[in-house]
Amino acid sequence: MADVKISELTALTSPSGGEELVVNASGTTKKITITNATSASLPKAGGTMTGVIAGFESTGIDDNATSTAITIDASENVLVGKTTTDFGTEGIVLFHSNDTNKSRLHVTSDSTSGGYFNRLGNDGEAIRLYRQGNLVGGVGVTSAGAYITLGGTGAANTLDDYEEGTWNPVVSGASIAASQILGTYTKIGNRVLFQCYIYGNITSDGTTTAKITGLPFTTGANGLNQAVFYISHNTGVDGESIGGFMPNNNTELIFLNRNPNNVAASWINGSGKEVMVNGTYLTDS
Amino acid sequence: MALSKVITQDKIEIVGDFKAVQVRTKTAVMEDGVELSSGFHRHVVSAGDDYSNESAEVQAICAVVHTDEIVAQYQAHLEESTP
Repeated sequence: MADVKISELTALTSPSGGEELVVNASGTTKKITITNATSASLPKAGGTMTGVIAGFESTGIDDNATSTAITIDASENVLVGKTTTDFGTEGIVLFHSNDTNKSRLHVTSDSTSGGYFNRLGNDGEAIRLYRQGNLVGGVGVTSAGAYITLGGTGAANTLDDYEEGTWNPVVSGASIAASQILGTYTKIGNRVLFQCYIYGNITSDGTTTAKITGLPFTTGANGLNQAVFYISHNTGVDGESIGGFMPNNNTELIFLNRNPNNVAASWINGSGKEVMVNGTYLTDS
Repeated sequence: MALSKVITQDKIEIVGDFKAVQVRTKTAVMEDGVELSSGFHRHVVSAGDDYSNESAEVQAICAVVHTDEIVAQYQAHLEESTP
């Protein structure tokens, strides 16, 4: 019903028998027919509202979407960007605790990351993981990169570096020609795993200590952290060598005799010599 | 769609008592400025090593940290380490 002044209401001359609200307008009796006043209104309970609410705005909610932005389904799950909980459909679902998915967050994105976590300010965790309310791990960020904590949250449980790459093994204590040389490494935390292959024509004086230099990381400073390496297919190092060691604060592999034991070995003079090396060591890097 | 190979020394560290200069070289394949793949190669310039063929940045660092005293200390360490 359009807005009208009380004085403009229809005069009540006699009761019509319908539902009427009687109003006194400066001594003149007016009436409001209740059916007219409520026919265009939405019932307080039930009913269906259709159409578009333009420019809707209220404290805490500001909906400027031009299409469906959020759907709350019959199970009270909240869906953003889609109208189905199907995991294969792009969009976000925040499942209600009563749902079989139990308060789970599903993010399905197409050809892009499903989540960005941006920690501002100082270094520290960007994501925390709990079990029964107890902190068990997480993912953190520093100016140098990211880290994860596994099996606990202390420094000993923190993995802050992983890297794969190549390095150049250099024969030391002899010269090598027509060589085929390859070195690879994987660094996991403070542990370096490496291998290398050396093949070529070796010119050796037979007495100088056989070494390979050029390890990808310097060995740790602690003098008690001596590391060892092993070799196979060895035709290039004498003394029945099966490997050797890497001193601390160093980038060298030093070959040792097996017979006599723990004496420095030398390269064997000759063509087509080869040695395959595999080892691991600690680094402070 | 332009492919390019970009080689950079993306990490240079000074490590340990003998100021070893650890260099990581990154080789990246780029397409229109977006990295498609990359790999790492590492080498270490130890005190006393000839660094004249290193990059200008590494040379500058080595010139500062590989003092005669450090070179002598590292040489003594190597001799002590060799059986």
